[in-house]
Amino acid sequence: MSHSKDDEYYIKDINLTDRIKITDQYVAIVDNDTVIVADIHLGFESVLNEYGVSLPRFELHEVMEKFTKLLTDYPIKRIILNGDFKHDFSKNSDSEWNEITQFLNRILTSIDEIILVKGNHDNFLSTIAYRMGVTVVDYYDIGNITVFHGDRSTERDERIIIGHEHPSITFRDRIGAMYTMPIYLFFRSSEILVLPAFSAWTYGSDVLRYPLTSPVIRNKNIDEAEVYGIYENGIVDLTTIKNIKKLIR
Amino acid sequence: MGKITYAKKMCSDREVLQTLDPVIAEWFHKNFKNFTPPQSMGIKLIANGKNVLITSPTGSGKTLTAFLYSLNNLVKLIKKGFLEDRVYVLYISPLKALNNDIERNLKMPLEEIKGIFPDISKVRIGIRSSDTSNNEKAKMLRKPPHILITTPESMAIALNAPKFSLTLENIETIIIDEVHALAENKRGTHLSLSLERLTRRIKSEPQRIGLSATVHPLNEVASFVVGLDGDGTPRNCTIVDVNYTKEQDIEVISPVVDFIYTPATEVNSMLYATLDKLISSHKTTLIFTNTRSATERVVFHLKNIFKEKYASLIGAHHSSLSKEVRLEVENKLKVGDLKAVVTSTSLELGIDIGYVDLVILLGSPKSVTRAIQRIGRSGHSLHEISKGRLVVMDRDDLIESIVLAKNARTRELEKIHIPKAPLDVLSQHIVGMSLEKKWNVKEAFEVIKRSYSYSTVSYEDYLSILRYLSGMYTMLSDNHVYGKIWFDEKNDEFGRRGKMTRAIYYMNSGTIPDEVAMKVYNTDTKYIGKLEEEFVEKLLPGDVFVLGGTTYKFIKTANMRVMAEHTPTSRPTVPQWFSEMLPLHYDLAVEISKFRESMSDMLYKDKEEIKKYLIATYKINEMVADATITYFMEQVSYSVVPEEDMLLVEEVLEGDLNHYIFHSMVGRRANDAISRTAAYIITSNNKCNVRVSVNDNGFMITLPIKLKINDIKKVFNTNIEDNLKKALENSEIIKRRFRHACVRGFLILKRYNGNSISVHRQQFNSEILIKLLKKYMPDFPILKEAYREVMEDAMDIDNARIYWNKIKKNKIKIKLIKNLEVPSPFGLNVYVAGVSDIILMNDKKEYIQQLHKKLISMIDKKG
Repeated sequence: MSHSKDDEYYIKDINLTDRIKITDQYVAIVDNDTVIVADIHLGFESVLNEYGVSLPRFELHEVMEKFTKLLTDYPIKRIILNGDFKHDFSKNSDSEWNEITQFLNRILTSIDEIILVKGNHDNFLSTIAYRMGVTVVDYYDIGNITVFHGDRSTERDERIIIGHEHPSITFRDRIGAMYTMPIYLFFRSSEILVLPAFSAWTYGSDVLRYPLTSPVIRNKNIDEAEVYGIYENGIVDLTTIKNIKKLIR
Repeated sequence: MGKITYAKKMCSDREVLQTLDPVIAEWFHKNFKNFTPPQSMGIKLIANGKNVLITSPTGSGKTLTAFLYSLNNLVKLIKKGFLEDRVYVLYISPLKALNNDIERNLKMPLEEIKGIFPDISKVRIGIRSSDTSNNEKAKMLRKPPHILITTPESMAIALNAPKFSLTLENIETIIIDEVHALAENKRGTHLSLSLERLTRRIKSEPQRIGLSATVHPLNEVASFVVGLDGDGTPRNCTIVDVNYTKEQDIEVISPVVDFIYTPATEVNSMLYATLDKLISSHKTTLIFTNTRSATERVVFHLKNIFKEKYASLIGAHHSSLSKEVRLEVENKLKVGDLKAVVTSTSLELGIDIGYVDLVILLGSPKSVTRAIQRIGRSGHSLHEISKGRLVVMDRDDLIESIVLAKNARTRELEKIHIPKAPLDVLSQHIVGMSLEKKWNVKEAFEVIKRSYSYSTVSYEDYLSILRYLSGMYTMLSDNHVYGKIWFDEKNDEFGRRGKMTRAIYYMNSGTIPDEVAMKVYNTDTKYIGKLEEEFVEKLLPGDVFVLGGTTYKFIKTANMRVMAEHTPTSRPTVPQWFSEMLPLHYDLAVEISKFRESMSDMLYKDKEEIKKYLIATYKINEMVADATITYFMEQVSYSVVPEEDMLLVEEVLEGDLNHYIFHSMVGRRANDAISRTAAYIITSNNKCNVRVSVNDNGFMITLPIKLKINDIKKVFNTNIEDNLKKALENSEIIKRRFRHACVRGFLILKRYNGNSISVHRQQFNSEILIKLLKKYMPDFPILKEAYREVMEDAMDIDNARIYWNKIKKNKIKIKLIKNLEVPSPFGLNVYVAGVSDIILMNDKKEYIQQLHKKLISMIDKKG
């Protein structure tokens, strides 16, 4: 782990272990060339649309912008989409076909390999992915690290990278100002990493207020988890939940 | 406004009778002695086909004035055998509970006329509101009512009913009741456009009759009622103003001389003793509070204290109560079964309430106009004096009430605020218009501009709505965004799109936003009240919030219930960004400011002399005069009395936080704008977060550093509008109002495809949506509207700007009093008021880095 104590405040990424790097771009990078992205929730707008909310479509644009930057910043060869790539539970709507096809096409022009790890929102994803020649798996191993969405339980109990939680944290200063930032949670003893959501539409849910839901970490002591926040000036080490609780009490 | 004139001539009864058919004349003669003033002035004008605005006291026969000539016409038509199956008269009222009024003003007369002219039974009356069943609507289509009674919302829907709207195409008279209650909000905006859409379809422009309680300025309200001609000036209108005919007897009562040193329990018992005395010595008393929760509290205490005396004779009436409960109270009131009714705003409107001989205003109603309207509810006949008593609740209330009472006697009414060109309501109407026919873009714009509310709308904004509704605002060319209208920008045409749109319009039109409230329970499981869901979502355990005038500590939420602990002595720690409190009107605030200055000039004089002056000028009793003088004396001995050309700022140091109390007497809405702007500038100049509290008399800024006089002067050396916009960017009020605007502008549909979308889902994340809209489409009309509504309607940017620029130009001088241990008496109320908002630094960097350092040091300490 590296954190900066000097005055050069902007920090782009932090090495969590010798293999895993976390960044201010909502992704983890393993072995420098594999990027792991969770919870993009593509198609969120069209789902809302079906409920009568006619949002202008920003999402694909935002996601593409973030990916383009990611690909320029790091020498990436492989992308693992760690679950909930798309938002809709039930079916593939026209606009989702459209968005997902566009997305995958554009990514595939600059990347050799895309792996889709299934999430709980991805029931019908295989149909689309099949046409694009992209495989969908339940989990994926990179050496001894398992990439798994986290919505179900697994026999493994260490070295896992999950999404699903959309973790964030909210602070309030003495004036009463609220700050919400997306975070990474890292259980060091078992080397389990929880990724923030990549979606443009959420800041996530506050881990200090709401219990963790993933069976992978539900029974873990959250106080022990290390916390890394993303804000406008990069990524910041916030030590542990235990410390944070002590500080804000 | 050359076409708007005032009626001067009071016609003799004979003159009025001459305009009427013998049947109506005979009926009138049998049932009434004389014509009332509005009738003497209005009926002949109406008979001559003029548009009129009638403003007169309750009980002056206003509604009958409006209807009489229409009845007359119907009688004539029946006699000639020309009565057709169509709507002749359209009556629109903001109240859904129309039945009372209609019973009295229409059905009874018709019943009585039957004795003279049996054929009158051919006249059909129909009511169309959201309670009207489809069956009844179908009946109405087969046999249209000659007189249609409806609400603004139901009218908008009727206008789009393909078949029924045809029966409206020959309407001769449109009556709009309670104009004063409609003109100042978006329900009125919505109605004004519906009227123009209807008028376009009628071959010869129908006559419009507006009915209003006391309101000012009448010219503007008249323009609102009649709309504009093609040349952009108001259509003709004659104003019948007979408000002067009813006298009011207004007095200020202070339950105690000293609000500060009298223990709270004693103030309370004195207050109820005062109320008891007033209630006992009158037949029926109507008590107005300023909030629903206060209404509940007062009823509770009255019933408790006076159990044997009249517990069963007291009722509550406010908008949160069910329709049945309200109706029961109204009926009991009418037949004289109640001794007192406590209400907030729900009995302000013209519901028939029978005989009331006293109105008590508990706490200042914050505007002279509202005071006159409320007090006007008492006094049986037109000639009986209305009696109103202002019972004050604290010392600021006392000063306010004295000034208010004096101005009420001389009828110094405040100016009404009519919202200007709301783009969300316009979006909704454009969807409605697209269902009517294919429009030329300019032709539709001409219709819209006829509404007074839209006389200032720009063509650009109008086009941006067409683009938004047609789905042109999208990031990708190949996207299937469902447009709600079809818009061909090249050929300047728009119209209907899709089969769903009509259903969408029916199910979602209207302007009143939904709120989801969560019930709050005390730790001993007692129900306390309700909080809005979106407010609860922001609470962290330990936060202190305000509910029903007292404070509670938030514990947790469970099963859609909020658990809280009563902590009456704690100060609220979280911003309460909305409030049901009535805001002090700017015009009245200016009067209070003048009063302060005149007191300040007098304070060196002998106390008895001041007292004499106050009693003579303000017609107050000795006790009230004493309390007033004591208040000012305390203020001047501790700080200074703020004057008109002085902005007094007091610095109060408290631990590691410093408070700056600004005594800006410009009314709540302008204070709201000024306080947030000032806070924003202080935040960016000093790189720290700032807390803002605001009330009617000023505002307070709380921050961790000290400000010097030059820091404060620098604040005002800026542009208020630009900075307020920036201050609002992350504020709760903009998110909330934006969501409301999304619903009104059909960006979010409350009901769609058989689903009813919950407020929770409506919220998704408006903060992110606002951020993305700003990035990709900064001119998006619905977002623009949210800013307009916050700045112009919720706040008062116009008066705030005037005040701000006076400080900038040094016409108002800043006086800073430093190092106070506690706030001055005048500053006390804003000091204890809850936080209204937190203004954040532009970037979070500083804070997060401090946080980081602290956390790291915790590890380091541990070693």
